[in-house]
Amino acid sequence: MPLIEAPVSLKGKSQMKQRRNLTISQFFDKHFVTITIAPFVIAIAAACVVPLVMVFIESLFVDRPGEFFFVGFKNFLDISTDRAFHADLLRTIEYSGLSSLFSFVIGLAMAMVLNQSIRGRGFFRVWALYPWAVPPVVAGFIFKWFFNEVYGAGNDLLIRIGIGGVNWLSQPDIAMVLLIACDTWVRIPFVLIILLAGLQTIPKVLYEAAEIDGASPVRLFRHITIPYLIAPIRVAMLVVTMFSFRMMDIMMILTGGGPGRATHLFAAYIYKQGFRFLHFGRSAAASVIMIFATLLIVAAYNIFLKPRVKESR
Amino acid sequence: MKSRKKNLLKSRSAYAAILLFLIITNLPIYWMYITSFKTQEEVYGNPTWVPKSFTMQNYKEVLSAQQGRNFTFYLRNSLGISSIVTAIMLVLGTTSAYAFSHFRFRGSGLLLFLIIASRIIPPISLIIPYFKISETLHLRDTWFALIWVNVYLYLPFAVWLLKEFFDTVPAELPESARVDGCTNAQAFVRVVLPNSLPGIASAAILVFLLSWNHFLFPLVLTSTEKARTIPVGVYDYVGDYFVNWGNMAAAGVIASMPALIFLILFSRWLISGLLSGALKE
Repeated sequence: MPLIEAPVSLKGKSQMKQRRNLTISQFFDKHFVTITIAPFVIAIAAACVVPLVMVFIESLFVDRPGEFFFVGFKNFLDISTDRAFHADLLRTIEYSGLSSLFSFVIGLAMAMVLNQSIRGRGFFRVWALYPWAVPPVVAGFIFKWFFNEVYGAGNDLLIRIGIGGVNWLSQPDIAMVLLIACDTWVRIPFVLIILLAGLQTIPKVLYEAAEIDGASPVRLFRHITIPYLIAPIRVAMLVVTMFSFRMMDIMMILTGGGPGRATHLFAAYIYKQGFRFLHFGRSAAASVIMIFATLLIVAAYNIFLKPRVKESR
Repeated sequence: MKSRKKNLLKSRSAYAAILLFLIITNLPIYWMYITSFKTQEEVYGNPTWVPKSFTMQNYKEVLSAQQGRNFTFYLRNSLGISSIVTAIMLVLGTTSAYAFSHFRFRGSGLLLFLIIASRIIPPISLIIPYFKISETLHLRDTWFALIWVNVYLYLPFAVWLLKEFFDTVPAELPESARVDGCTNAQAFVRVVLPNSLPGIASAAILVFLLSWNHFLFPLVLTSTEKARTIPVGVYDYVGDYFVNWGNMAAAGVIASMPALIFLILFSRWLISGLLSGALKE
């Protein structure tokens, strides 16, 4: 920057300094929005946009140790004919679908119980949140250890009741059930907290008026509770489905994808293509499919769960 | 009288349902906690629900370097990375969220859309580019790489959350400060920030907790203990030929310390952050 004329006297110097200070802070003030937004934009560009563009480009290349060349959509073709991928995808749909369903039903039921005017609600709310707050990896460990076949508490309980122990992790179907149970266990608190907040926005007068008119509890639920809850349900369940669709942490520690491939999920497919088989191009192609699948989930929620009572709020 | 009886019954069954729910959901966690304080013999004996022994041996073993695992190191990394990420969020997040909330400017709609869109991208989809970038720039096993990833993961989330909180601060507050001769920055620091401390606190707590709990990128971007975080350390036990469950439980307890501390001390802020992050989408 070109310097402004050198000041002659000392007095002038200090005046000058003051004026320059003023201009800097004026400059800052004038461009306040630019200065606050620019670092954010740069950070997002560097941390989000660049990797996103890279993954799309990478998906069109064969990228293995010592090999790197353009193949167009061949990676996608390879994946689409990969039986293991089909199985993983179907399993992931089953996993995230069932986990969403169970966490929705249980979360809504518990939110409705907690919505009654009872003492100690704050306390309950906090302890209900615990499974959500522990790291997912630890959640997987907690289930793995609780349902340990020999030393675990789960089988101890079953034996005490008289049912007898179960080989939780060595039978394909039961391992899948356990995996879904663990995911549901992690998701319920989130659903519960958000639906509870949603329930608390419903005016009590509505229920009272309807009760005077002789409406049954089922009708109250169908015609007051559900319409009011559509918006929170959409948000909470979208997050739950999205997150369980991309889940890998719990699976890695709880079942490791086994026995065999019985609990192997989509995200682990991406991970293993990249870091076990060192097939980065194919892993990137699977990543791109994962992105579009997530967009489909978002679209589905926005189409099928449109808010209905927006105008009455 | 009759309805009172009905109410009592109703609230009793409500309490029973809640109690049952809490017991079932917290029982596995309880099992991890007591396991971490049991002696080796008790862990590998008949399952006991009330521990007969009490020992800190598992914690001692976990926190001293063993089998190439050094949890003191992991603990330091987790604490350091999560704190720095939270600090960056606080500086970058609050200022840009304030700009989004109280100013209209060209491209603000597009940028807000980008914030939401970036929350939709699955992190697993970006492991390949992040791996390649950090390989080329020699950033594997550094704090820098993990902090940078966390910016992608949680900066948009934090901005979204903080914007919701700043939206509740009336525009008259900074405006009157401006009339009194404050600059925009002064108005923000002196008037807006003090009025949105709860919101900022809940954003900070959530970001800290989520970046502490995060597993995927530390797994991909670390190969030595130099920058490895606690969740990866816990996962590491699974590969052992003989899994030491007592040690693993202690590691799990250490990994879920922030969860416990935040739930006990700051649950209100945690919940309000959760809600405003999700409800107003």
